[in-house]
Amino acid sequence: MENLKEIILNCVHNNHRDQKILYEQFYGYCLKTVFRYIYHYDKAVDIVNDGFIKVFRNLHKFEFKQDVNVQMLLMGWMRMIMVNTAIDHLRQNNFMPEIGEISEHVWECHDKSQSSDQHLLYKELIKEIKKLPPGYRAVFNMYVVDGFTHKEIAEQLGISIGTSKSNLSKARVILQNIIKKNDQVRICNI
Amino acid sequence: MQHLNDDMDEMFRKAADDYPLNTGNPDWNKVAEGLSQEKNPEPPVKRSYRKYTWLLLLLPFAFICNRIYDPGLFKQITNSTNSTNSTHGTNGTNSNEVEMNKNKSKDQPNLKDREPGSEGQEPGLDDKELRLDEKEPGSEKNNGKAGQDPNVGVEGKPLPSETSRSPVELSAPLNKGRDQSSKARKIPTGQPTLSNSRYRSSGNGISQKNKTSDINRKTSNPKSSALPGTTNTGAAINSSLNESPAPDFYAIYPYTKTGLALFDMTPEVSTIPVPEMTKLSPGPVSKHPVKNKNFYVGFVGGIDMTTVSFQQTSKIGSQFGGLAGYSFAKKWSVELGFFVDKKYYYSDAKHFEKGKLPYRANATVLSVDGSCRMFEIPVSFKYDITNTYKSNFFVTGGLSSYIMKNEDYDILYLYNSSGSKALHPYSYKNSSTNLFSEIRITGGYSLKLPKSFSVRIEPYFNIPVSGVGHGDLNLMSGGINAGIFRRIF
Repeated sequence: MENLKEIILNCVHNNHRDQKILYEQFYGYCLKTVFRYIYHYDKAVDIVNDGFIKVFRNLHKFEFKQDVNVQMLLMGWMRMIMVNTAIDHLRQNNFMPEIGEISEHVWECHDKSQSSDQHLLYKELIKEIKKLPPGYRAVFNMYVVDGFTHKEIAEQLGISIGTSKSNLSKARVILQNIIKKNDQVRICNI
Repeated sequence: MQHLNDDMDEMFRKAADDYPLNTGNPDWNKVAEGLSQEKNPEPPVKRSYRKYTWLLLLLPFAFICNRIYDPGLFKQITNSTNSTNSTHGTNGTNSNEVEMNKNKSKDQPNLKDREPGSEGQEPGLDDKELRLDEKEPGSEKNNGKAGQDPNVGVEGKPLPSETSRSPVELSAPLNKGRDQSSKARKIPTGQPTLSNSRYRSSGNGISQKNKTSDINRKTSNPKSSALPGTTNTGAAINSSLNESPAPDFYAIYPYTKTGLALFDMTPEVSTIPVPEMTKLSPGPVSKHPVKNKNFYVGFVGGIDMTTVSFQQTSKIGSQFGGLAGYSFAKKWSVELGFFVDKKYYYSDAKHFEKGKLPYRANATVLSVDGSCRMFEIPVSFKYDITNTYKSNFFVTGGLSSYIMKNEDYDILYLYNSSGSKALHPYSYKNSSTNLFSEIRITGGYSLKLPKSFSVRIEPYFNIPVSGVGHGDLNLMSGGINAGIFRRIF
């Protein structure tokens, strides 16, 4: 904990060594966050790097008290920056739907969730999320996973609150249908 | 359905946290490269309002145009020209008179060059007087003496000139002239011209036909007939106006006051072109009645210099906006403005409220270099010191309210642990609204233009009452504004 505080202070002083340590420590977490929003892996990597530049530029604005979990605060703060950076990218592209398949090399070989009771692997769930239209995907990720309110989503995406709720509802319907369909296939296979 | 949604949301949250993703190759070099570029950032493109400063160059042009084009003077000249033309056109006698005068003036030497007291001449008489005397038919016969001036008394003593005569003195020779009405020279009636000599010779040889109407005209419009020295030529008018002040009508014609008008005095006044003399009356004549209550609006812009407790100033700011005013008394107005200010300022750490800054361990604030964009709403009373027809000087005093929109601070920190200094930028939006936080004192000069327009040059000075903005800084501002105004009603 104390080590992380020192790293943060040194990063504020533009200490490149500590900045690299911080970057490598939280790169995976940030990439996982961004990859839920951005369809292509390479673009997600670039956005993560842009997001880290923003993080280091604005790290002096990161406020924390001495008796709290600095790491959790920092992860939450960085996740907000990464989500905003990803949304900015989507807005620049006018939420255009992406084409192409996601190559398998982006997924980690060892799937921890294989031993769970879930019928669908987490990887498959994320894949289904990524198949959603960009607008639905952004609203679903922001509301369900990242905890934004509809008002915040509307401000961030430049849409109305009603549109945000509508997109969320439609995204849920799509995902429920996929889950039901997969369940039926699994039952048939059994 | 809600349970299904909640379960599904929870499942997706877990998936988002734990889904397998290959994150093995973070590229730190790209981030380092981006950070190194960030150290030398391109200066942000700020909207420059300097391109509009050329509009200030139009102010002298408007001033010059206004000075050249004076509607009152233009109309006055036009009317005098028209009156000259009309009198020449309608009265052939007068035109002939001018022709004769020209010929006479060639033949005769200038009377001013003559010695006073010379035969048949009165000192102080002008050329016109002499010409009138000489052209009148039968003048020699009626006067008894050839060349005797009608203003000369019975005893033959020369009368003093009008400029040197008092009203009492003026009445005496006129009465004497009336005594000799039978001997007076005949002057053609209906002659539209009037000169000093006319006054002096007015009692002579006039028929009594227009007596009553002339008296009424004189009493109803005394000032119009009271002006001496009005002739057909503008030069004579100006010379007479400049040389002598206009004598009172009743001083020249006391009989109209007392009701003792004599028949031989009044008809001459019938020849006075009353409207023309009214136009030629000296002094400015206001065509528009002065309205004490009016409402006006205007656009104002200028430069702004801001300092915090007389410390150094960084850059010159700007102030643009609108101003509306209502004149509720002859010299008093109340004004309400709305300005968009851009202020630049510098302050030491001691004047800056550091409590609102984010916490920094082992760091001390050294100085603050800031800028802000704010709305300023001044409410002030205006007092016109000198309010003339064309311009006025004024002072205003009131209070200003500030609504902060954007504040940008570059705060210089000293890190005690390492001894290094670092400059950290902070930006705040809509940070504060400070009602009546400054005393606003202005003074200036306003020049009135045609069509209810006016331009104004107005230096101003704002004295802080309380701190404004995120750092509670006492911003003391000064500058100069220029604006154009229009009276609405």
